[in-house]
This record gives sequence, structure tokens and C-alpha cells, in this order.
Amino acid sequence: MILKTKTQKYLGIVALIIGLFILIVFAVGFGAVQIPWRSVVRIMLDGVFGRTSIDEHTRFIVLNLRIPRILMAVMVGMLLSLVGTSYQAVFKNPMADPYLLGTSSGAALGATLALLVPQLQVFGYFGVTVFAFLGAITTTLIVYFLAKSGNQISTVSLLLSGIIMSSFLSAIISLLMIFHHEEIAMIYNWTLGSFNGASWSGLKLAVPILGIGNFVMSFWAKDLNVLLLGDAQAYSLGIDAQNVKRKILILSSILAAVAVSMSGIIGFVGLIVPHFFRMIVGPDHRYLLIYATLGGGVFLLLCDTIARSLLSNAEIPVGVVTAILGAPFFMILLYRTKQGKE
Amino acid sequence: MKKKWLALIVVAAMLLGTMGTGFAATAAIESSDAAAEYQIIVINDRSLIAVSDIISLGYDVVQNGKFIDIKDSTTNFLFELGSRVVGVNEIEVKIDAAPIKNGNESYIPMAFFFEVLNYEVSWNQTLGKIEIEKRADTLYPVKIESFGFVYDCAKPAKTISSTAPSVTELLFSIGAGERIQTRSSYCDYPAQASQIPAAGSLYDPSIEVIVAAAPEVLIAQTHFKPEVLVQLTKAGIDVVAVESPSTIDGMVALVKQLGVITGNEAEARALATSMEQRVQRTRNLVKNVQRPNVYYVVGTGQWGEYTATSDTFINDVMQTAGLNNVAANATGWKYSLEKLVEQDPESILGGAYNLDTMRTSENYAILTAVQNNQLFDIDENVYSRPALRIIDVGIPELLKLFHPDLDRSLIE
Repeated sequence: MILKTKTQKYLGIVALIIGLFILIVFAVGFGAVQIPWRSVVRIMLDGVFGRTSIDEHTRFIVLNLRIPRILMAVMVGMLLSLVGTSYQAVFKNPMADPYLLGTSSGAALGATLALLVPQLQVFGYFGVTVFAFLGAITTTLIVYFLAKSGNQISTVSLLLSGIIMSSFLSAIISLLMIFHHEEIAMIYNWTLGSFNGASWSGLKLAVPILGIGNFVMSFWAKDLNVLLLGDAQAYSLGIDAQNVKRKILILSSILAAVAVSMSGIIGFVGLIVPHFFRMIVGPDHRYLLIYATLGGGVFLLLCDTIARSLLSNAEIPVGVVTAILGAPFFMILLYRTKQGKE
Repeated sequence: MKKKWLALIVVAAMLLGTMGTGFAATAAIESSDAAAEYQIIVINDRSLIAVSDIISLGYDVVQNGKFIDIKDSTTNFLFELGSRVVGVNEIEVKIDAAPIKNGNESYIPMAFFFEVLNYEVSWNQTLGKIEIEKRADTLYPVKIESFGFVYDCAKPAKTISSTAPSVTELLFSIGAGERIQTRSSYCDYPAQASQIPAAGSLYDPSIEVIVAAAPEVLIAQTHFKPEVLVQLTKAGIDVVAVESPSTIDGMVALVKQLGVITGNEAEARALATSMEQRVQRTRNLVKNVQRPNVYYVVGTGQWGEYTATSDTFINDVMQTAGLNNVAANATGWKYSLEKLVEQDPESILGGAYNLDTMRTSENYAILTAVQNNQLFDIDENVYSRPALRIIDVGIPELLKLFHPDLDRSLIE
């Protein structure tokens, strides 16, 4: 734990918010098409004052392609990290991530079906997102009810049924890919995760859900703290651990499903960001949730900015960047913490 | 024919002054053993040679009504007056000039005839004559080395397996289709291909099915898994891994290579010449046209923008058909939404699903092509496979869409 006092912790939050804002402004200046900073600033000011002094296509690139994409990366980063934090507490398992309960494979199957079955393309372009969400939420619920016995939810059976369900659905996707080899590239690319298709209408869905999720989750921060002590301990403190787990699981799964359906599958964010901030601010979820949420946004935006500007004419899948940046960083951190303990 | 070298001396003015109209003239032929006068007609920039001259060069000719049957020891031509379709042994190819009758004399397309017989036909600018030079015949065994695989082709292969759709199409086009023992499940054209046992995908074909079919040679293309090919060579099946052509010229070269592998060399040269002549004619046709800015969508939407970049076969096809490919400044199939918006093409070509994505997603709403509904649904298999259909269907379709005023009658 690096930030020890309350003041330090609050200052840290302010610093993260400022950092995120600076990064957002910075990211708008980067992209496949070179747009001078002056133009970017003018376009943003024009947006505020309702003027149109820059050519239409450049304006479209900044306002309708870059900014939604940047905000989407922040949103998804926040969602994944928030979910990761809560899952890790509920399962008392440091390996828990937003995809644990079959969320990602459910989303992938939903997206695959939407890509393959013309009758499902009623929502047009949005169909893939809608069906990815339906797939994710359905799978998560099935896993949840599979693991539930009576009123009890055992962590082990949740993890097990999550893993089994994931393998089962992945097998179905592979089977579908073999029968529809023409669409293999589309399906495969979907599973890699990207913010390429981000748009304002996608954001209109993601922002309120993130807002509600964050708001509700912050109410449960104390409950999450208690869960870390174990079910019996929680019970003795007058908290129904099963009930708390159920509420948090359901909310988290919805958030994870939204994130996956927006961007495809982006690994590592939900796993490492919460751990990183746990090392910095400690396990108290009243702070950790805020830190992890903001930090997830910063981290994924950083990765996406690198993903789309590192190579001049190609984009690196953002999931590749999250892993390449995240893993070594995490290893160093882990090593240092271990050193500190010894 | 014994002559190894002959040259037709043609007055330069004769070729230049005959755009679109035909007239008969005499031309002196110089050859290694004798000089003679030959009758040449030029129609639509193609020289036609009199059948009586073909007879005097020592070929066996039978004329029966509209049909002119010409034979040498290995090759059998069947020309039809007024028809651009020529029979060469078992196959038919379409060329850009038809045999005609002028008075009592019939004329056949000269360059095509000699090219099929393995002569190189070229115009010597400085001497002002057409030169026809015999190319060296293929001497088996032929060694083909590619991607680290060596194929010692002792004699033409009687049985073949193909793992690539374009290779399968080309093999059918040179009359070797019936000798294909296994295909990939992607090889769906021509219709007869579906009769051939399928052996899985390009990358991961079923080794058992191929080994059981025991072809003399397996032809794989760029997207293969080396381990699979190694397994097949261990099972005693020779392997040729050809590179997927990224230009039309590359496709023509591949056609000739397939001719060597299968022994259908005359047919392969006929197909290659047919392709080359029609492409050359297309290029001349679009030389001075206004080139519209067009984008070819390979993938779009959430998984990123993929297009036919400068290093792709489709790019060469687009340029040939007189289009300006807006993605010609990129490589490796990858593009970006921002660049697409910046380029703002007038028209977009692609498969129905991709075009639908562009029509319905707000991210593409600013594109002129979307606003004016200039999104053209094309058969992606025709454009992505370097095979005869690109010449027969693809290029004429592009001309029809973007240069409807040009005369396509000799290209289609």
C-alpha cells in the first residue's frame, strides 16, 4: 500500500481524474489521418460554439470517429476493471476476471450467430452488439443457476460451471466456423476485440449503464469488504453473504456483458488493474472501486491510443497491447510487493 | 514446323493507320531458310494471317464451312469464322479477335496462333517488323522450387490434388479439371468441381483423404500449413506450393506453370494469351479515361477496415479496369476508418454483408458513396481468386459499372 492516509487517497483520485482528462485530450490528436493540433482544437471549439470552420470530413473524423472511440475505450476499461474488482472480492480469488462466468464465450456465440444467421440481422449493424449482449447475459445466468444449490452459491461450483460452459460454447463456435468458413475472419476478428466500430449511439447505451453500475456498486463497497473476511464472518456481522454475492454477481455480469458486446473480448484489463490499485490503495473497496474504475479507463485508453498509432497504416488489436503492456508491468509490481514483504 | 525463327516485315504505317478498319496487304517474311511474302490483315489492332500462308508454313488445315481446323503434332486448333471462341485441343478460350473471310481467303488471329505454338510474337519498332521467335520447349524433368519445397517433375502429372480455389478454377480452365483427385471444401467453381472429393480447408486439409486419393502431385497456394505438406511428402506425394498471384501478370505466369505441371501446355498458353490480350485491350481502352475513386471493402465495422491494398490482386484488377483504388497507398489489406473518411471514395465495391454494415452504421454516413448510394454488391469469389472469371466476369463488370460508354465487345 503506497497511499496510506485519507488525504493521500483523495488526492490520488483527483490526480487520476486529471490524468484521464489529459490523456483524452492527448488521444484526440492521434490517429491514422494526420490532423494538426490547431485543427483539432478548432474543431472542438467549433463544436462548443456551433461553428463549422474546418472541412466536413476532418470534423467528422475528430467528432464522430475519434472522440466516440476514445470515450468508448474509457467506458469499456472502466466497466471491465470495475467488474474485475467485484469478482475478485466475491470469489476471493485473485484470478477472477470479467469473463469468468462464461460471459465472453456467451457474447462470442451471440455475435457469431448474428453474423451467420441473416434472420437475426434485424437490428442491422447493431445486431451483433445486441446478440453479443444477449449471449453474454444468458450464459452468465445459466452458469449462475447451474452453480446454485438451494440458497447456496459455492465459489468452486461457480468457477467450474463457468469454465465448462466456456469450453462448451467455444466448441460450438468452432463448429459453426467450420460450417461457415466464409465468415471465419469476421468471427475471429470479433473475438480479438477492437474499438473500431465505436459510435455515439453505442456510447448512449454504455454511459448510463456504467453510471448506474458504479453508483450501485459504491453502495455495496462495504459489503465487498466484509465478503473478503469469509461467509461465516460476514454472517456474524449481520450480513447475508449469499444475498450480497447474488446481487453483486448479477450486476457485475450485466456490466461485463455490456463491455463485451461493445468491444469484443479484451483481456487483462479486468485482471490486472484492480490488482495494481489494490497494491496502491489497499483492499478497502470504498476507495478501490473508484481507483480501479478510473484506472481501468486510463489504462485501456492508453492501450488503444498505442494500438491505433504505433503502426502508420495498420492497427494492432487492442487486446494484444493490453497484454504486452500489462503483463510485464504486473510482474514487476508483483516482484516488488513480494520483496517488500520479505 | 521446322523453322526456328521467322520475322514478318510489316510496314509500320500499315499497323498504325488501320485503327478499327481492316485491309489486306502483303508482308515479306524473312526466315532462316527462305524469304516469302505473307498476307496480313489488321483488324482492331490485331494482325490476322491468311490460312493459305499457314498451309504453306507446313500445317495441316481442314476448312469446312465456317470452321477452320489446324493441326500440328501436338496441338489442334478449331477456329470459327466470326467467332472469338477458339478450340485448342479439349478446351475453348475467348480471344479478342475473330477469324474473318476476305474474298476467298480466310484469316486467323496471328499472334494467338503462334503464341499457343510456343512462339514469342513481338513488334520490333526499329526494324518495323513483327518478330516471331520459337521459345524453348519444356524439357522434363522440371524442377520447381518454392516455399522450401522441391518438386522434381519427371513428366507431366496425370493426377493432381488442389487445395486452393483459384488453382482448381485454373486447372479446369486449362482442361486438367477432370484429373483433380481432391479439392478443398472452398473449391466451389466450376460446378463440376463439387463432384471431386473435398479434403478440408486450405490451411488444414485432411491428409488422409489426400493420401488415399494418391495424386502424383498436390498443388497448394500461399495459405498452407508447412507441416501438412511435409506429412504429404513423407507419404510419397509430391508437393508444389505456389504463391498466390498478386497481379494479373502473376496469374498468367501461374497458368503457364500449371501447364508445365499438368502437361496441358498448349491449353495453358492459349488461356494465358487469351487473358493477356483481353487485359491489354482493356488497359488500352481505359488509357485516357477519368478514373473514379473507388474503395473495395474486404472487411468493415467492429473488426476494423480491411481492403484491397496496393499489394493485392484485386488492386491490380481495379487499376486495369480504369479505377483509382483509394487504398493503393496502403499495404497488407489493412486500412482505417479515418483514412477511408479522408479519402471519401465516390463508390464502394464489396460483398452484401459489408455494404449493409456501411449503409446502417452511423460511422459511414459522411461518405459520399453512402450518401449517393454508390455501393455495389459484387461476388467476392470472382474478385479475390486469380482465375479466369476475373477476365470473363470481373473486369467487364467493373467497366460496365464505371465506364459504361466504353466498347466492351472484344473484352467480354
